[in-house]
Amino acid sequence: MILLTCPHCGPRGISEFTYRGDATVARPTAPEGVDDTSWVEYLHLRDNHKGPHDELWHHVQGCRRWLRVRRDVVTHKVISCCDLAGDPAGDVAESNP
Amino acid sequence: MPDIPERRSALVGMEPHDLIRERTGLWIQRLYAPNGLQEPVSGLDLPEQPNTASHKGGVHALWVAPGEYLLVSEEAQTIEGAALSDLSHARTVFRIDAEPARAILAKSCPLDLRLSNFPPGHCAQSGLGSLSPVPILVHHLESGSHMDIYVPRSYGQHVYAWLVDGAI
Repeated sequence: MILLTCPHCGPRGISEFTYRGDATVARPTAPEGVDDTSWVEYLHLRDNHKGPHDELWHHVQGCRRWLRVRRDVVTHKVISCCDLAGDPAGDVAESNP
Repeated sequence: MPDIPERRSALVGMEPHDLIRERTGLWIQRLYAPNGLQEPVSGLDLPEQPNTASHKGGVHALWVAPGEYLLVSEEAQTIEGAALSDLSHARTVFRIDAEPARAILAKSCPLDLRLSNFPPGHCAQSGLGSLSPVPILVHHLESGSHMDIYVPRSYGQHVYAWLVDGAI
């Protein structure tokens, strides 16, 4: 079983968590002024990086906190995991509801 | 003191089991204090560490999330100065001896419930079952004798049947 270390609950099985998408995507600040191409890009198009990647995870069956996880998608090595609320770059959550 | 309105067992029509007992008539409240309690609340002693529980005067306080606690008592309590939501009728609670509880839950719960990792006085939320896990909260009682398992009431019969199967 893959373990993810929740900043609150400690190491927990990955089945307690839900993947909630790319943490680097930012919602356009003025959606009404965005053209269709940019909107499609925001909604659907994702890069597929090889290597470290920032992701949103929800500890849905634990403390129910949203987490920002930096993970190497090649090796599965988790580089960092922090609570989105305590994250200096946590404004992703507000701009990306 | 306020009374807890009666509610029938969640297991009506099911065979009782020696090992897995339902706890009924509990007073269960969710306490939400995202910035901590502004002032000490009489009758309450909240746990400081995540995934631990404390108790004072018959009220157990279980950490469930940052700034969120579950208060459990066998008698209705009056707590003033804190925001509570009544969950007394929203949970079904099972009590199992600690040793068999570890063995039964190990069959399909990803928690590490070994004594070294989950000593008495600890609690943890997780899922039970593999395909679509049921959310559960496990509390290892301070005495170390039992574990209490909290599940949403609508899952009560399902989890009970699952635990009985797991105990075979």
